[in-house]
Amino acid sequence: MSINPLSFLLSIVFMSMVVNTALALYGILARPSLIKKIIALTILGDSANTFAIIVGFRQPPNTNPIPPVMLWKPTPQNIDYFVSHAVDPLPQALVLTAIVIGLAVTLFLVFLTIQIYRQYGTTDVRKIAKLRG
Amino acid sequence: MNLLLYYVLMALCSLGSVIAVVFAIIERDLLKAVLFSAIQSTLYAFLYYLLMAPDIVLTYIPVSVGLYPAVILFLIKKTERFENVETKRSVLLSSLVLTITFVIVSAAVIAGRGIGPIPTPDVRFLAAWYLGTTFNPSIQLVSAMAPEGVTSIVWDYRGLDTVFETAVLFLAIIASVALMRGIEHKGVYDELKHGMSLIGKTVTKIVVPLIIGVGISIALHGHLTPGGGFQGGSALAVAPLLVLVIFSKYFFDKVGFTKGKALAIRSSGLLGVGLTSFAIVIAALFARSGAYILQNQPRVGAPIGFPWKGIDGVLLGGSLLSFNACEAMAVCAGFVILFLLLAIPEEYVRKVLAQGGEHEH
Amino acid sequence: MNDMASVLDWVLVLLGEVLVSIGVFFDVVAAIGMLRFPNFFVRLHAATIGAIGGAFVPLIGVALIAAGCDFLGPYRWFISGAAAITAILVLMLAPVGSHLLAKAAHESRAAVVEPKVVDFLEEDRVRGETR
Repeated sequence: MSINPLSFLLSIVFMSMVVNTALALYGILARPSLIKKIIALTILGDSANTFAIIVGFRQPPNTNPIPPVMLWKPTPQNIDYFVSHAVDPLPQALVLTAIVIGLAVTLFLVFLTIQIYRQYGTTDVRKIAKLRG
Repeated sequence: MNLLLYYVLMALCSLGSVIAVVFAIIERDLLKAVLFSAIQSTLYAFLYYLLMAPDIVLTYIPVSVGLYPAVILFLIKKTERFENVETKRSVLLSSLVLTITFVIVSAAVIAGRGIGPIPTPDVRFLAAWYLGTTFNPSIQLVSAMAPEGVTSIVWDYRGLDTVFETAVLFLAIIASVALMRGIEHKGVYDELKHGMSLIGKTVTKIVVPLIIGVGISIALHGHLTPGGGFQGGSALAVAPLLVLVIFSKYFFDKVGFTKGKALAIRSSGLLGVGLTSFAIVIAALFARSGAYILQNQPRVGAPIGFPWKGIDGVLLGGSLLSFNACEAMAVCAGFVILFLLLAIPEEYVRKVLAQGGEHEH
Repeated sequence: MNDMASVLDWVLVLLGEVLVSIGVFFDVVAAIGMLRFPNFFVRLHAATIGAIGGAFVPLIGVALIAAGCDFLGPYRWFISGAAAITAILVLMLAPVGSHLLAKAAHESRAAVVEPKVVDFLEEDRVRGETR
């Protein structure tokens, strides 16, 4: 049973994203402070985005991949080199959208949490659940 | 050998981020939890750079290391600092050891049994199509004529996604403004009493123009190299945040930069985005030919398009340039609105809320 | 070996590596100091030594190494220039950061000045001459 070293190292990256997602889920569900839940939510979103970027990664044989930016004149052989060596640009565009939307949701959650604190005097969900109205 | 170095660095970054996440989730003091989350974001940013995603790095660093911790620090200051939970030292150490060994052992098992992710030498057909047509003068009828692959997908091939995402950000800002409606706060700026020390203010005066210059540059060259509207807007938004923290909110009152003006700038940025998406349609109405919404270059049946090449062969990027500029303005102004709302002192807000009803002008 | 570098390139690379190793020394000293010093303010001093001696000096070293590496082609000037500008920015901003941290910690009494010989800022504050 021989281990391909590149595959082992990429598996470490993949499994650490899985563990980060699991830890962030634990943080959202088990910790009682609303602020800790917001922090864990941002970690969850970032780990999910990293999954998408790992999917788009490629390894051309024996050379380094290049980011999807065309830095040379668009002659046919340059375009061939670009297409055969560049990383997938579509997950990066989608992750860009996801980062901005996650940021918008988190900012709104922050304002909601401040309003909850002004109304109820606490950010502990166990205490808020015991209140009535 | 060179390849192995990249992968080893990637593995080290991910293991470091697991450690930072364990600390962030288990930590009871929320200030330290925010700092650990910023460490995790820095390690993720380096990981994104190694995964050949420079656009993501440019938008992730100002957002996750600058804006998120600042907003959550404002939140902690206005609410509670400590979590009501008991944690023992042993829980932290045991979970650290457990997660790291789980990651390494499961990665070895997966890679050893051959079901692990093997870095593939090819990409999908859709990705190859996008890469092949992003800057290809020989097939101008399907090409976006901008050398930056990610920006041409964001604003040309899938421009409708980006328009909806801008709408979501706009809705979140409007909702936050609605939560703080009727609360207007003004004060007089006293140079000696307000803000931080003279050293801080002097260095901030030097650094803020640098930040603004870098932000505008990132936004404007988004069609040539990694950059673009969101990246430049997020980097630009760090400058007003710095001025707010160092000089205090009363400085903004003295300069006259209110929430209303920031809302006006944001709305004009969004108006620019809307006009650019309809520009070809309006131009084609006068020329009596077909057109598409969000059109960048001439297509089949729609012969009018933005110019992609200027004088001396400079690449203009078509509609991407004006999209990037307007979006950067809109994103930066949106964040300034939120910071101005967060900076209103809490006693003033409670006083207004205790009066009950809408605040009378 | 002959086509790789001239004397000037070797001098630049060696000078850069000397600066980077000075940075290693300062980083190790700063780390030991952060653990062993008794007081917040002295630990802050150790951290700033790590920031300046451990980040500014190695960045200048990286700029010199990159300028001396001929095999990188024209991209070596990109690396060298970016490292030099980052070094100047770190030199400007790290001391201001530690100044503001120390000021805030002293003003809010979040850090205790122990073991204390003399504290002029506290005396000024008691007399009312400063915030």
